[in-house]
Amino acid sequence: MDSGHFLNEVDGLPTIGAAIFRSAEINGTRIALSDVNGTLSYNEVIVAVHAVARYLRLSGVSIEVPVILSVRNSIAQVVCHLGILAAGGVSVPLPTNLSASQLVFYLEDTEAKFVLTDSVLEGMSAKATSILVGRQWIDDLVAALPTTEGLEPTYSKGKRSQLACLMYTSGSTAKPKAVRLTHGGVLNSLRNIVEYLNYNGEQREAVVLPLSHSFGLGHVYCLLVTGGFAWIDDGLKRPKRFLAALKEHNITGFPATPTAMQMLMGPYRSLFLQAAKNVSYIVVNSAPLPPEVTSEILAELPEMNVHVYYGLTEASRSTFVNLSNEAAERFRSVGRATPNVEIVARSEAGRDLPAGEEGEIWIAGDHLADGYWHAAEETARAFRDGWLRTGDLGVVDKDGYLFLQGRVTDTINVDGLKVSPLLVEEALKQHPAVGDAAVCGIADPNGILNEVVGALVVLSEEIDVDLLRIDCSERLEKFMVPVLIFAVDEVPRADSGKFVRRKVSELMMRKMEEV
Amino acid sequence: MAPIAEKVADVTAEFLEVEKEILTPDLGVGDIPQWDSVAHLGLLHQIEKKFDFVLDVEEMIQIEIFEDLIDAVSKHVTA
Repeated sequence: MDSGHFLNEVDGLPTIGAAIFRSAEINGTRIALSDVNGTLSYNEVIVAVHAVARYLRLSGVSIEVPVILSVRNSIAQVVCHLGILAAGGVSVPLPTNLSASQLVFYLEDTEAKFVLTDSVLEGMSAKATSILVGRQWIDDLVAALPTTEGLEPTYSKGKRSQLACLMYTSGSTAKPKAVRLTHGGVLNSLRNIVEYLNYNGEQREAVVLPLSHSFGLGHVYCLLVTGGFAWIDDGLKRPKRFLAALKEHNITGFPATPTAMQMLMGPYRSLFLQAAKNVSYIVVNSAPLPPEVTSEILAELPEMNVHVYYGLTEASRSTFVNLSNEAAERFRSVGRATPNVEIVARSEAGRDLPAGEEGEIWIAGDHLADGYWHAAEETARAFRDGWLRTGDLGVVDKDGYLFLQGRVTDTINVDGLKVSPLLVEEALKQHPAVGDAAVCGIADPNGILNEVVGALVVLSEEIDVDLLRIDCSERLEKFMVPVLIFAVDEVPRADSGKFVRRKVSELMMRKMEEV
Repeated sequence: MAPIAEKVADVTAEFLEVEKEILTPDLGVGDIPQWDSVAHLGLLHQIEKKFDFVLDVEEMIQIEIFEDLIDAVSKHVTA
């Protein structure tokens, strides 16, 4: 088998569902998905997705109707996501354990009338219906199907320009914003990744990254459209289970964050090296994988291909590099433009810069998102003439290798996930005892992550700052919650009232040194 | 349950704020919202404190489910 069928047909495929249906026609009884609750063959995936789509359509989900999906990583999550797409709806994959205020925000922002979840959520609006889902729910829907004949129309309905997914990203604004991903844009991304990584149906991956982000979800898509296999688990909370799965399922590769690789090559080193004997590739995202970790992996596992990529939700997997083929001086690079993608560094005025000069990174290609949901201004600022302005600073060398140098804005990069300081500052200021707040990226005091969120607060009454962390975790996703919070008399502002971010960082450093 | 297992269950249930009855041998990190990876580290610390011993890294990485906890404590503590 090869990647030919997908690459040959992708331009003619109308929807993501159509690509998976086509793959299922070829791969029928092969096992597609596995998790702690069992497995599904390609045929079973198609029937299960159809059953969910049918249920949603009967419930009133139709073309471009958003459906919130808050289900932990599992076969059920994948089937529900694809079911929403097959119903013509727009999937809004979100983390699990949403707090009431987060749910209220997402419901209002998307105007979703349906929430598929595997836990009881607080903060449900009377305007929306919450549906408790899981493997049993899906099995029951399948059992209730009148027929499993003639399912193709479910998957082929729709157009490439149709909205498939709203994926939230922190961006650089005070509120999370949703990136609009169309069926066509996603299919074009998949074409680029399948071509670069040469997915050919033989890939068997362990996917433990959140399927509510494009990194994890993208891997499941690539496997499903080419006839591969995904073992899915909910994070790396159970490393022993992950390592056992590598052996048990003959895993050939997996996507990972730099932090996960540091953990596997750190405390779990001997267990990992033993379990990874048949693993021939890993894919790491764009938070930098420390070069010494890369060197160690390549020294211990010489057959391993270490792929690093750079991408944003708005421009999935825009560069790739196989560090196993590169000299050590390129270990800090995130690679060259993926097939069908262009990458340039531009000056502030938007002029292309010569090779080797630092500038803002712009990306072009037919894989780009088509803008932000209900945010015309933000969309106009970032998407221009077929190019995406990323807000990342970098250098493209004469051979086309991209080296990232930081951010034009003050976005904090927590293990590849972007955090807007404004968003965290707003969350802190929601607490009645906080008069003012300033947030910046800091080195992780626990030494695990490259960068985490730190905060300075001006208190209007004496409280334990740890309480603020608890309060923040109600309003923010976990990775956005400040790891360190210091009370200060005032936060550095310019006369205009704007923060002087550099001074915020300096004050933060001084506070960290004091303890 | 053996006396040590009983004590481990008491400490675990109290720390995670769950009913002792739900602590089946194969229940582990990530299976219930109360037992996430952060709570897991706190639980290991609590176990060390209550049973007065220190886990080394090799032992810590072997502990993922309730049964692993009982095994680890049994190695350090005699009933």
